[in-house]
Amino acid sequence: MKIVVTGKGGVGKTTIAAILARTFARAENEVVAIDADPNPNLGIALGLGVDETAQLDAIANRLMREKAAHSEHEHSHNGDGTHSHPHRHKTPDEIVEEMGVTAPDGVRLVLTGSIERPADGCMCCGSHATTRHIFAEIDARDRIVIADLEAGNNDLIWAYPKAGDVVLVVTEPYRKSIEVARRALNVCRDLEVGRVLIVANRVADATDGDLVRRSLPDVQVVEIPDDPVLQQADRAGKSPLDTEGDSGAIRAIRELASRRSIWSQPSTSGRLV
Amino acid sequence: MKLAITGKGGAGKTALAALCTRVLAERGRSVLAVDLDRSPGLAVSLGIDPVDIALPDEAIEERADALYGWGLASGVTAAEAVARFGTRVSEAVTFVGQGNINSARNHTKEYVSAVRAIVEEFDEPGWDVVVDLEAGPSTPFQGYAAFASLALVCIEATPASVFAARRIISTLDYTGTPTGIVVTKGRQGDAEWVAAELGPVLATIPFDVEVRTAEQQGSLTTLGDGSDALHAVRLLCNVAETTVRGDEMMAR
Repeated sequence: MKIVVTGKGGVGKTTIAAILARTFARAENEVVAIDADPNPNLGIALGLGVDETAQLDAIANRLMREKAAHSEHEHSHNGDGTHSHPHRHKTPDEIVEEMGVTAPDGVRLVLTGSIERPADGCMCCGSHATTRHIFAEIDARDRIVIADLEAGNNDLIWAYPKAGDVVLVVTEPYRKSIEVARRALNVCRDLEVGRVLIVANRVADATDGDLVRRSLPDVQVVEIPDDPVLQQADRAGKSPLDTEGDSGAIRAIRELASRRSIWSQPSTSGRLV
Repeated sequence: MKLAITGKGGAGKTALAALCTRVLAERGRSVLAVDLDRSPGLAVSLGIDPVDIALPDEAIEERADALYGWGLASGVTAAEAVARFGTRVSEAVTFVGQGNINSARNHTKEYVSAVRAIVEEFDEPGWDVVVDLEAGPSTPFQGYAAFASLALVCIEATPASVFAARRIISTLDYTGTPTGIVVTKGRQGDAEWVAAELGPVLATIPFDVEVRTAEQQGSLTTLGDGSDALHAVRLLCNVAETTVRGDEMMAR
């Protein structure tokens, strides 16, 4: 099963993706989390810590370095007239195996691309193209792959979710993020995504939930309550699962993870939650 | 003065852009407010309807030299483009956007070069330019903020926001763009925390429940004149003007 998490900046995509990923992993699913944001910080939300997350290497960055190193050593031909490519085309599974790091609860985390130095060439394109390659090609029959996208709808087009995938469009009960969510639904309709859900985050009261449902009719809306525990964890650079472990928002996300009707069934090992 | 407003998603870029626009207008300046974000935000905050098709067909043309093959129609100056194709928000404020992605075909590619050309070339006496950039480091990395006489990097006091700010500041340094750090939604101790992470802070905009209420209702036009955040943005605009004037004198 492949899941995409998208929405306006700052609505809580990363936090929700991280709690979902760990919740699925705790239920003994194999989980791969893809951080597709060129400002990668999913590692923090997964509980890897700020310093370790800052050190993580990204796929596009590494491929670019290998390519640069290769062009410097083009004279290193093999004896038979061929030469070895240090960056032969790797499959997504090989990349996850080689470059993934293990986050708490066994979630396997990979980063598609990170903007570090301005001289790095077209890293944002590299990040987007890598996201498309990895997300489209990765084998998700026996595991759960969850991609946390860059803010806005451009990266949603790049990720190119398909009929069998689930897209979670996260929104706050404010007009600006609802306008972004409305457009994300249109992108998903064009792409013929099988299942699209609105996740209304930071819902303080019934009025908030009603605003989202009224603004975005004809799509299932799941509410996550406004929760200071998430905000505190964000400020502390930790996963809310490691600070409080339990709170209104965490319970709501667990409940979302347990709804079998939403998630397609992985073929063998998947127990979901 | 030309301001670029950048930062992590949700840090308050758009609110800051709308409030800077308001403050500069109340000082008697004309303001060109530009949304270089492919999601609607600044239009909403300024109180106008978001338009997905940002510019009419006559404003753009196919150009081999332009990013994605489309640019501003030849012979049209930036000032003419603003006068002809901009949306009048008020007596003092004109809005130009690059449109919003609303389908699987990203049509905003056809407008981005034209809007960037307008932002880069526009230089009219009596006018300031306020540009709201997309969340994160991608578009600053592509040079979208290089036009700015001052780029404001919005930061909430969270590690993820600092990650974004570091990446953005690194790209702005590369293009030699003057940069100011603005702590947003500030609470007690936030400015000191951010300063310890990133260096001197140009201004702090306090957390203001009135801003949140106005945003919930839609636009920031309903925000009262006595709002704490608005007061802080007035001080920020003073500092920005002094900084930009100082940079200009140094350049001369």
